[in-house]
Amino acid sequence: MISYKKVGRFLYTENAADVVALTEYILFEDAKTEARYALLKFINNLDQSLYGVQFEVLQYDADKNLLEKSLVVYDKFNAEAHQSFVPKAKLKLSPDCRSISVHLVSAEFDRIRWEKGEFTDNPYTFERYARDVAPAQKSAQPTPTTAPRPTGPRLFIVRDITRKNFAAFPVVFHVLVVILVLAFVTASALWFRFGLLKSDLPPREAVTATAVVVVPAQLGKPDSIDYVKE
Amino acid sequence: MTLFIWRILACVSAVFFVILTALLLSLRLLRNGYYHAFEDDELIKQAHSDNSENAIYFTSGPTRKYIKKYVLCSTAFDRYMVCNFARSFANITYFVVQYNKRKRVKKVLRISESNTGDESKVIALHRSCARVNVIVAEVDGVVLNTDVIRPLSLVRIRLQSFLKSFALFLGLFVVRHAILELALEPEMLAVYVNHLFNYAAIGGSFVFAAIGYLIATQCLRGKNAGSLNGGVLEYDFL
Repeated sequence: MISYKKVGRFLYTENAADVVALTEYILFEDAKTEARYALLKFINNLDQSLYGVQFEVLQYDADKNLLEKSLVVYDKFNAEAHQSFVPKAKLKLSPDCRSISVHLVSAEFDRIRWEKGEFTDNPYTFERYARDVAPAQKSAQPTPTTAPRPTGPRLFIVRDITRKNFAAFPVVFHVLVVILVLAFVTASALWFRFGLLKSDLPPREAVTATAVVVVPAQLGKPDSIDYVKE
Repeated sequence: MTLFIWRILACVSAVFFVILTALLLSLRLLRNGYYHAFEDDELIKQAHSDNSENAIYFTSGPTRKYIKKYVLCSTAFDRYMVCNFARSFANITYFVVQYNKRKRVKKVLRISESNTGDESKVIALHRSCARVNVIVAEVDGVVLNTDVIRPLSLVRIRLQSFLKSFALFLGLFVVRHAILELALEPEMLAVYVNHLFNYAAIGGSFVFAAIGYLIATQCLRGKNAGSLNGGVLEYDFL
């Protein structure tokens, strides 16, 4: 059984404006081997998820002499935007280390990449998502924004709310009106044509060699017109 | 009035009928308006397989806080999508606005899910759907959007009904005159156009067109009444 002896908890205020900043760290010591380790707590200062980070760790002894300088890569994790996170891997230190200093080298966010003070687009690849992000999300530590998975029946209701601004009744009414009016016009015209309204026609004038005579209106073919002889 | 005047009136009516019909077709007064313009979501990955084509997109705007990505799958016969939620929700309601290749809305779905996992269930899409936009309506009791389709304004409804009814009246006038020209000889036609029958047909057409205007206005207003209070919540209780 491994037992650790806590050496100290230190607040870290340097480079607090970095996109990913160390806020505090804990130094602890293996009681048997006397090996020293550090557990780091960072904060993601951007409004994007953080997927990986690289930073330099400088180790100092009690007299502030530099003991060791190492590059640390934390990858395959998912830190939410504006949230603190503690990488699971502990950092092994020199036995004489009493304090550390951290300098951010690069950070890989959801949409962009930060490196040496400059942002570049972070090209997203599906392979990376399948390999790194999805498993990391499954194993990610719960954050205050992450609600526990609800238990209960899963409902799924799909409703088509497409609105067609079409009213059927006015169309039907208009069709009926057209049929009604045209039927009335056709019927009245035929009625008129086939002599049912002879009395409404004006008298027709006929010219003969000797005189002008008035004859009643006639319908039908011109051959059927009767000329009145004086 | 003489037959000549009636013929001129018929010709003028025909011209106005064509103009009004062209106006009705071109203005498209009854087309829907939407609270959200089309967002060209960022394509992450596109994959072709033997019988389907899949594309993964990032969502845009405030939706991204709740729904991060979605995948569009197209086969020879079907279109469907699956959303990837930012986390599991007790209740979430969202709109899926489907666009065709010309970025015109084909269909709008309102989807409610409860006790979600990380992904939604499979959502069937319209066959001609080429792109979608996802807009979150409600998340765990917090309402973000109540609707995506704007209600039609009364002015547009009235204008559409008026143009349609007036075009109907003019069309009836023209067709009536054409029937009379075909059915009656000029002498009889000259008599008929001043007869009570002619005035009855014109008066009846006008009355029916007026009634049609009222009916169309009321019906279209009724269809829009349910969504008159929709839209984005644009106020704060301060």
